[in-house]
Amino acid sequence: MYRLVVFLVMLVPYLSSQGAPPKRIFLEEVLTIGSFEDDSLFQWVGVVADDEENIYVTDAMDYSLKKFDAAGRFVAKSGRRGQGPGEFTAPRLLDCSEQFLFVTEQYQPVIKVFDKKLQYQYHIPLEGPAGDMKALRGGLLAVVVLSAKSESQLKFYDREGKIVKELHFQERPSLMLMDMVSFDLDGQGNIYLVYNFMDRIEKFDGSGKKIWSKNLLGLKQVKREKISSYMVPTEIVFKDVALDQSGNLYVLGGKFSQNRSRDVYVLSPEGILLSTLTLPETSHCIYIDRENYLYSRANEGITLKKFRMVSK
Amino acid sequence: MTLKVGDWIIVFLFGCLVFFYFRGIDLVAKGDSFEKDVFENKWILFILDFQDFSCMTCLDSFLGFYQQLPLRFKTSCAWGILVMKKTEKEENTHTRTSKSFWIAEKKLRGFIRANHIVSPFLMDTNQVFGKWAEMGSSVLLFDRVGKMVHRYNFPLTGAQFEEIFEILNR
Repeated sequence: MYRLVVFLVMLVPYLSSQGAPPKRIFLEEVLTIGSFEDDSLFQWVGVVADDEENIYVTDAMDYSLKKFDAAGRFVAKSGRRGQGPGEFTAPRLLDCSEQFLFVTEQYQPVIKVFDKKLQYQYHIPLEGPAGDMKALRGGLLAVVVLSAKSESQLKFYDREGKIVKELHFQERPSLMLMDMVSFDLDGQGNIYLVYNFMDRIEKFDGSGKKIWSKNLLGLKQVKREKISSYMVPTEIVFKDVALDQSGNLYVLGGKFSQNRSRDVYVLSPEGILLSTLTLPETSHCIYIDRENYLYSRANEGITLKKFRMVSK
Repeated sequence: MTLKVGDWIIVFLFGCLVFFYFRGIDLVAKGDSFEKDVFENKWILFILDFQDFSCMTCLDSFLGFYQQLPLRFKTSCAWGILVMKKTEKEENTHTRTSKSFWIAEKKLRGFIRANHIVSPFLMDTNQVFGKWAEMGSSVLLFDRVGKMVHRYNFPLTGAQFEEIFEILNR
């Protein structure tokens, strides 16, 4: 009995640390771009901030790439509807390196490259449309290339568009669209994947070795519907992922979250759920800049919000 | 009554104005018989489903068709309606005081500007055209007496595209 009591007493600190209520994260709004009255944003899709805190946004409604300064003032706009150099049909994802901005098109297998003044430079052809994209330090681009014929892959492109590395993250071929992922990379080259139509979050090291895989919401399967002779998933589980400067993982939940398209799950680099924060409005994506500010959507894409994350 | 020189000048200028006004219309009509026919006989109503704004390429067919229309026809004989379907949750919310109205209004403004749309576009806040929008965005052709002659849903097939222009040219 004595031993049991001692054991339980010794166990208390461990249990309390394991079961401690996770830190709550609150959002303090620091910047808003776009209102009902102005014409700055109509339906923004991708966002990125550079080292000078300039904010770049793709706007699908007016087929453009836009630049705002750190105070949210409009600086420049580039692009129009079309398929020529510097034109867009449906601009989507956006990321930047020290020198360039990289923009994907929703339905075209291409990355369009602009300088920081929004001048079109060149394009990088892909094997399929980009599902997600990140610009890495050193000039590489990591892109999930979607394919109807084979499973999606994470490919690393150099500046000339040459593939220098590939990661096959699916162990076996999956059903259509079930391998759609959003991803981010940390400073050590580790890759975090969240599946858009599966309750699965995974971490790989730089060589492609899986470190962990996590089922966060306890879902078994998502609904699939027949759309023009294809059975495709229609309920999105996770919408986006972003890493903060500490390496923590922020995963934006979709239909199955308590607050649909608003709940953001915060996980440690080891995959432990630390906290959940809730965005004020539904968003299709989240972005965390180098100063750990979080960006999300409001007013269905008319407004971009920038938040300071405060732990309490 | 005796007219002074100044009065004659005013009469002369008025006469010139009337002459060139009608002469100008005649020249335009003769110079572009397609536009004249369309102007006199056909009207087009575009019904756009607000949900299609979430998928920009869903409206590619509309834009491709619209760009083929003559400018004069676009400004005189074509109108557009943006229909916002109400969900149960949003019942009675598409009013000028609602957030959803202002979101739709701004997106429509951006869409019109980006695509150089010159036809008047209205927002169907009262769901007058709700039934017509059940099958998505579409184009309706009317003849001179206002009777609906055809309706086509976007995206248009190549055959439908040609058929519409054949009707307009009739």
